[in-house]
Amino acid sequence: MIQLENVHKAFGANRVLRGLSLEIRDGETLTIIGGSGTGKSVTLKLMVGLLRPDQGRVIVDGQDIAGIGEDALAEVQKKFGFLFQGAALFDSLTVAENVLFGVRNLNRKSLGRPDELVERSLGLVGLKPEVARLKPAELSGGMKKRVGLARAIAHEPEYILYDEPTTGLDPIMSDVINDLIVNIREKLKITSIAVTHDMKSAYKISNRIAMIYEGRLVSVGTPAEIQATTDPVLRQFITGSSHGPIQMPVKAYV
Amino acid sequence: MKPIRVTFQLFSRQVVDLSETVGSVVVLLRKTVRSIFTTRLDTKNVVAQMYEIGYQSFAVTSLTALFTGMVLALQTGFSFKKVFNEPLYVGTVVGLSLLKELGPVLTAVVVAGRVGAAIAAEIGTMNVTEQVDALFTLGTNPVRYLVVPRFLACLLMVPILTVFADLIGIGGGYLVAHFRLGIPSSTFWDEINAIELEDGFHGLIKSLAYALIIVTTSCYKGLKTSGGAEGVGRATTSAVVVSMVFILVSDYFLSALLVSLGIG
Repeated sequence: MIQLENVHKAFGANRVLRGLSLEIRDGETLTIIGGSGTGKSVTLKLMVGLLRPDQGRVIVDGQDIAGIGEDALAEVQKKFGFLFQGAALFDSLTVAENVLFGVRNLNRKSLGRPDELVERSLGLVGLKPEVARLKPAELSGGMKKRVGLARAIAHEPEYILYDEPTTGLDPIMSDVINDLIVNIREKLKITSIAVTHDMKSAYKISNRIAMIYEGRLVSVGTPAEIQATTDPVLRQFITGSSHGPIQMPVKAYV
Repeated sequence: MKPIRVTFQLFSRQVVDLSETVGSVVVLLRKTVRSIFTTRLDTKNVVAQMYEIGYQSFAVTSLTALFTGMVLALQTGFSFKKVFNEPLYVGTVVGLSLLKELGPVLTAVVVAGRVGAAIAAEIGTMNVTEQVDALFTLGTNPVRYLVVPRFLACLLMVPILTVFADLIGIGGGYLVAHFRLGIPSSTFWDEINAIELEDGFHGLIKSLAYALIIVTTSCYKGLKTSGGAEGVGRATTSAVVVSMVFILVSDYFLSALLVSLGIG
C-alpha cells in the first residue's frame, strides 16, 4: 500500500503540491487526473523517490521514503516499474537490452535464460520476439510505449506507475494500450497507478479515479461515481468544458 | 535608493546561484569518487569511453600539437635570429613551451571542445527525455552508469593524449628547426635532452587537473539540463565555454603553485 500524507512540493516559486493526501490500495488501479501542471507526474515521481517532498510523508508498504538514504531507496525502487511519458528507452541499447536492463541491475540474481525472459515480457505487451534486436529509433510511438511497458514489468514489480500512457498515440493505439494495462493488472495481480488527462482511458483502466486541483486531492471515487458527480470542478474537467471554476492560464494574442 | 536595492538584490542572487552551483559540483564529484570505490566498476563502459575520449581525439590533438610545435620553432628561430643573429635555443624553447604549457593546455582545450560538448549533449538529451530518471527506476545510479566511466576515461586519456601531443609537437619543431632553419639535429636534440623530467611532470599534473575540469563541468551541465532541445544546446555551449575559461584561468594559478613547490 502507498500512502501520501500532507505532501508539499514546490519548484522555486511554483507551489505544485500543497498538502496532497492519497492512499493507493493493493491490487487496485488508481488513476490520477487533473489539468496540465497540477502535479500529477510530480506525484508519481514522489512515490518512486525520483523527487523528495518538501514536507509530508510518502509511505510505501509501511516505510516512509521521504528522508531515507540512497541505498535504502534503491531497495524500495525494486518494488516499482515505471512507464515514462515518452517511454524513455535507452537509445544506445537494443530492445532486448532495454528489457533486461532492470532485471540485471535490480535482481542481481542469475537471469536463467535471458532470451526467454525477453520473449515472455514482449509477449505480455503483444510484441513479437523479432522486435528484440531492433533499436528504439526503429520503433513507432506505440511500439516504444509497449517496449517501455515490457521493460517496466520484466523485473516483476509490485507496483507499476504509468505517466500519461496514451499521450501522443492515435485513438486506436490508445485503446490497445488501455487493454494492455487492464490485461497486465489481471495477469500479474499488480497494483497500478496511472496519470492521465484522457478520460476515456481513465474510465476503462481504473478501479478508482482521483482528481488533483490546486495541489490537493479534490475528489476520489469509482469511475461510475466520478461520471455521476455534481462537484463543479470535477464536472468541468471530465466534460472538458472551458467554462467553470477551473481557470486555465491562457496567453492572449491580440 | 531603488536602483541600489535592485543592484544589490541582483548581485546577491548571482552570489547565491554561484554558491549553489559550486556546492552541487562538489557533491557530484564526491558521489563520483565514492561510487568508484564502493560499487562494481562497469569495465565495458569505461573502455568504450576511453576509446571515445582518447582514441577518437588522437587525430585532432596530434594535428594541433604538430603545427603548434612547427610554428613555435619558426617564430623562435626567426625572432632569435633578429636579436642574436643566430637561431639559438630553438630546441629548449620548443621543448619547454610544449611540455609545460602548450601540450597540456591545447590538448585540454581541444578535448573540452570535442569531448566536453559530446558528454553534455548526450547526458543532457538523456535527461530531457527522462532516460536519467529511467536509470534510477531500473536500479542504476546515473552517477555510476554515466559519470564514473567518463570520469575515469577522461582522467586517464587526457594525460596520455598530452604525452603524445608533447612528443608530436617536439617532432614538428624539429622538422622546422632542422629543414627550415638549418639547425643541426644534434644541437636540437641535445637541448631537448637537457630538459628535466620535472618539467614533464609539471605539464602532466596540469593535464590531470584539466581533465577533472572538463569531465566534471560537462557531466554536471548534462545532468542539470532542462527545457528540451533548446536546453541541450544551452548546456552543451555552456559546458565548453565554462571548461575552456576554467582551464585557461586555472593554468596560471596551477603553474604558480607547481613552480613554488619546485615542480618544473
